[in-house]
Amino acid sequence: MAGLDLKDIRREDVEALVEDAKVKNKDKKDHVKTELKRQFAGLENLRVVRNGQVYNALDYLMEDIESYGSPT
Amino acid sequence: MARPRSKQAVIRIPAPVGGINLTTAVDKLQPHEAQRLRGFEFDEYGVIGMPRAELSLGTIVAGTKILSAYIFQRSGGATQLIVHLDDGSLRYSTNFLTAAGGGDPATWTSIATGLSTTAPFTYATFIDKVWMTNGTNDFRSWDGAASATFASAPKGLFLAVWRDTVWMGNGGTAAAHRIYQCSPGDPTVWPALTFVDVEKGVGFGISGIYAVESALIVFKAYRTHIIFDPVEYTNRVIDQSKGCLSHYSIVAHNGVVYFVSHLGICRFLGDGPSQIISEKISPFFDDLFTFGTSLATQVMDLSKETHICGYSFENFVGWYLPTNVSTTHVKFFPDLPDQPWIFGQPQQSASTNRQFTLAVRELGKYQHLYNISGSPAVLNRQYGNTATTTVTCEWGSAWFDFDSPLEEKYISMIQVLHRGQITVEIRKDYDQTFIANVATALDHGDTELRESTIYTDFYARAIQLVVYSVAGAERQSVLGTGAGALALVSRFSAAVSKVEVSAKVLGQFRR
Repeated sequence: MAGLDLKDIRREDVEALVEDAKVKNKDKKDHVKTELKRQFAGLENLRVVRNGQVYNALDYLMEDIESYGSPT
Repeated sequence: MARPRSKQAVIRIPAPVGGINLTTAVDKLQPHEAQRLRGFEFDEYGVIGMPRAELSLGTIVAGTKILSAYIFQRSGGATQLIVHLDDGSLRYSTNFLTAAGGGDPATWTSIATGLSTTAPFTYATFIDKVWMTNGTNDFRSWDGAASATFASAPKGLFLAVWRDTVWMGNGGTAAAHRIYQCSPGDPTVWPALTFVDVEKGVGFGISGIYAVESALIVFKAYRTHIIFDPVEYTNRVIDQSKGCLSHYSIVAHNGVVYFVSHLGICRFLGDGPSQIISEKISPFFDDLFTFGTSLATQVMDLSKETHICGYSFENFVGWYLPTNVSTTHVKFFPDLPDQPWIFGQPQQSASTNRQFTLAVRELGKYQHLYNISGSPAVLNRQYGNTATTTVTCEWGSAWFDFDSPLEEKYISMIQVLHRGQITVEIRKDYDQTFIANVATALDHGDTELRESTIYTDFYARAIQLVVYSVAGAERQSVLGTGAGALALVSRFSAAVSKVEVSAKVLGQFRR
């Protein structure tokens, strides 16, 4: 977890996982969430502040998952 | 028995510096307001005049209409006019600044083809490139010579540059309230977590974004928000009853942001609800006019709200407002004391196609204005035609009542201070019929302002002056010698400064 900057997680990384889910015929959300946790160790414990509120970073990222790949 | 002496009355009709007023009964207009005012423009001194006509620089591509357009200016390269057409192509022209029309049209070079034929791009210039998004095609850049696309970037509808980053608004149906931010200084990189939903699920989604010094304005159709922190995206609503109908309607003019809402055209005030400034043309935005009458064709067609396009040029801001049968061109002069409105030239075009008007100021050169409209889309240089080309202009003044006694008065003389060629007509007693024998073409050619006298012969209680601009001659040198030296009282070719109407209460009234 140390050293992980949330800005290091790029849309390309998530996009690749979405495509990977397609290829492997897996549920997009489950697959992306699992793989993000694996690739970015400690991500599930990070927080992000948005508009004065504190959110779990991984949950917040998943809010935008529908903007990746083709709509599900 | 002594006969009563005739009594002289003089009405001074000022130039209509109050602009058009569609909301007040015609007999209650202020003297400096107009019942009708189209085509004319105001100079810095409030004098109205006929502008030069537009010059066609040719059809862009046969059979295509405009979806969006943008002026791309950068250091070390020629300015480009970029257009997105409904054949799915992006093109640019560099000779649009110098083309003379006719056999010397603007020429166009392809940037890309196969793009959306319906979703218009929005644009932002940053780090010497123009960035484009339309919510359908991949986010893309253009440096004046080469394109690049970024498939992993969000697909949003609107762009703005604020605090060294590009911001993208409205990510489509699933993310209509979402704002994305690129990596600092690098729009090729979009981190996965740099987004925020602005009042998620409230309203119809983001309809436009615009950056001012202290905030990113986030418009929805009927609400307005600002993001004032570029790191944690702290935001709040600043207007709960007005938003923006079209991203392309947002215009900055002299440091003030204007936009078109469903209640009228607004001035952004920064930290509170925006101010509606279009009261005098408010019938265009009147819901009641749309209920079951033919007037529905006269008011703005909100189903075409995204077609609204605004621009800033010299001393005014203009917008094209689509009705369901035509497009109406309105202009606002915020720097004049009365902040008047006029209808542009043409007042209405019989088309509801999108049209774009863009001002460009090259380094070391004067500002020019371009318009793209029609089917097929034609590029026009506004004010670019010859001085003798006729432009239809009309000024119908307020009604002037000679008041007590109530009987009609003998109108003996009209004096007009003007230059260039104009036609003066008179209506009487709130009747729309012209007085037939007072339709006079006045011509002072290209000399300075002079007074013309029309000797009239009719009775009236109330009169309205109607002035048409017929044609004009060129403005004169302010530094010259001789007759032309003082002509810059107005910058226009045909201009009206003042009108005086002399009437007499004669000893025996006409009944």
